[in-house]
Amino acid sequence: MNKTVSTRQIIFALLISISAIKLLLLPNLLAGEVERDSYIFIFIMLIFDFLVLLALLFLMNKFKNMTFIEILDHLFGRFVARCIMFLFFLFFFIKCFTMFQTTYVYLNENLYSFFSPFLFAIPLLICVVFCVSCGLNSFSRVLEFFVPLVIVGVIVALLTGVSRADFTNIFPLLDGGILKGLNLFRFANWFGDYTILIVFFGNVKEDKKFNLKVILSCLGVIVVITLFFLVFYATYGYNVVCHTNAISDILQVLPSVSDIGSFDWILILIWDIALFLCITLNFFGAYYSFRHAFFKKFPLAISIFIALLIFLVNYLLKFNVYISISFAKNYLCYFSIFVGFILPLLIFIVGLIKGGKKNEVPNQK
Amino acid sequence: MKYLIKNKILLLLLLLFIILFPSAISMPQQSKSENIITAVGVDKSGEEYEITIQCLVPYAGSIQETLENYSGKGKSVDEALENLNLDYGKTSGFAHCRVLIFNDEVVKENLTEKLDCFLRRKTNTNNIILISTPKEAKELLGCVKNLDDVFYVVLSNNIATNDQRHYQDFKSIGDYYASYFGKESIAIDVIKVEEEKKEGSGGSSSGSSENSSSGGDSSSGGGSSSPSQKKIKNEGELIILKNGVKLVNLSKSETENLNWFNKEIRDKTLTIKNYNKDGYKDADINFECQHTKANIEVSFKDNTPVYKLKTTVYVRRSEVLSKDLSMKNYEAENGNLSSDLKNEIKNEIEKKLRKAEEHFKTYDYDVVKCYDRLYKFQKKPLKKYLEKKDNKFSIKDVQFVYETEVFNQP
Repeated sequence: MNKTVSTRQIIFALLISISAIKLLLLPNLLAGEVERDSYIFIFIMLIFDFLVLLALLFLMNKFKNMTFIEILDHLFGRFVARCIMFLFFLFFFIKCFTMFQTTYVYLNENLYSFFSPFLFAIPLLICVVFCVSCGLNSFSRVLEFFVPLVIVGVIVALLTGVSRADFTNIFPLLDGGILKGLNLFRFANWFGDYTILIVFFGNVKEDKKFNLKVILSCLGVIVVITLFFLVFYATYGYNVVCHTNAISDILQVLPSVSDIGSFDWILILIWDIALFLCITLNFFGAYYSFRHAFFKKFPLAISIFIALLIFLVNYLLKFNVYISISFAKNYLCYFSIFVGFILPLLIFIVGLIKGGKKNEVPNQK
Repeated sequence: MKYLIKNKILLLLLLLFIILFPSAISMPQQSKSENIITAVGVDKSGEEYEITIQCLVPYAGSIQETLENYSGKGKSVDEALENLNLDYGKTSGFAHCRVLIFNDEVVKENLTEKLDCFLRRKTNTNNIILISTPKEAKELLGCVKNLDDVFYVVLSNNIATNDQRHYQDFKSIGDYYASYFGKESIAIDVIKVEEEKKEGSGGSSSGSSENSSSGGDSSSGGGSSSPSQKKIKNEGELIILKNGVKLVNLSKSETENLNWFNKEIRDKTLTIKNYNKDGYKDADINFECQHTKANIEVSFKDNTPVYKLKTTVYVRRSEVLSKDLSMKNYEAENGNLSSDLKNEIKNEIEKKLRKAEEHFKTYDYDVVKCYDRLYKFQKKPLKKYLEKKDNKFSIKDVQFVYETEVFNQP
């Protein structure tokens, strides 16, 4: 296999994967649970998530040149490895269809008075399948092209928010008590984003500072997301429950009579790109896991099958994101905690015990 | 064909084109199906609400758009909007709406009920500025017709220029809900319509000539049909809403007093009258107060809430009115403020603050976010305090302490 993905491309993939969905609906959902303290709890959740990154990086370093499925085969044997990949397939698939719905609602709420779900779904899924058929290498280059734009968008949103924020809104701290934060495990479906790294295993260009760069970048993203939550609450205070699209709504803090006009529309367009990239990344995860769980032949047919499955689930749920949110909060959260947090840590522990010495595992390809 | 099948990108574009083209060409022109609303007026007459929307109407082949006002009636704001949509065959698009005007009748009952349908729009309407008008919102919207003098340009300029300066701190729907949920009162700005008299109209009005706009009728129901000229008049007045209901009107001088509490308003003016020191004789000195800072601390002292306002003001003489001004006065000023003058300024500011305090204690409204600050920074003592007061907080029980520092503006 050619090692085609650079460190920068992986960082961009992680950045999109972590932030795209968290900066949209999540501030509103968390504010419903923990109100003004959402930034404290999101920070704790992100740090938990970060442990998954460390575990995966450890596996990546220890089993250099091996793909994720090869590591699983090596650690658990063929059958268990396939079962784990099936779980990952379900995990990415769930993420894909919830993101898909969120993107539809986002477009429908902001840009159109009514947007046919079919007209949204079919072209989008065609584009996603196209990206997957072009391969990870091509998509990584697409990321390199668009992610800087997304970064600029986040910075603009953050600065605009800071300029109008009233930071007294975040007081009193921990108003509802620290135990209230335990409820947040129900939002596990919005986390576990570092698992996308499994797609890149064994496919990374040699870089001596790979670990350092990835860790520092991800820590930077954690700080930015926490700050965003802080600024968002400081900006809107009690009104935060009325703002479901945080990243673009934060720009609406500018008075309507300002000369800038509907400034938020620029960010809505940028964030649509971010959501598309995020859906495609998770689609890659689902596609990769499906192929290794079942069979590798007919790659295009597999991606079309997954796309149709996403469409079908959305169709059955009538593209209603609130049904998905309620389902994710009440039922899927346990599954997401297991696959997004516990499973990678279990693999890490088994890898630690069973994997042999660092860099001594032979290349199995 | 072979080339097409081999070229994935071309294939993708072709597929997208096939899917999107038929629906794209069959879509109606959006301006024909949706009103581009720039301002909304809500009036109440009897049991019915009358909604007036001011819309931008683009015309093919013309660079300029025109403004039209449309009105509809209903038992609720939403019903009135729906009737209006039915009458004019378009839906209401609020994405470009800048101002929401309501008249006095509307705020005799809870304003929250009237704003609810705006808050629930798919388009975010949180940053729409709220304005009150004593007579009819319809009249205010109807007093402009031509695009050269469009309502939103005149009014937006008025708002954008005056916002956070001197008298005004314009409030949006979002601000309204924040104060409503936060159990506070809110001050909404008042803008009036005035009949312009032909005789002596030039320059006699008090500083609002830039706001004047040619009046006129609106064929679609907006405003008066009188050919006489009307103008928008902003006298720096406010209305206070408590629990969404109008409590009291604030005159220009009362607004001015209250604004010394508002740390968002950084530019203020001040006058010291009959000043007889530093070489002046019976001088009225006007000051520009820029970059005014107001630090607020809240605490409890002997189970009494204390609101401490520390004001820092940087002042500059903007005008000295005295019959005996001489060269010596200018030389003596030399960009400095004497300690006597500083004391006078300090006393004047604190006098204004006391007057504002007296007013909001008389009418029992909390626009200075006293409860909110106590909740944020003194939660436990506040809880104890409220237990003794049957969970009722009144601004009347708060002790206000003022500290003022005056500096010469460099």
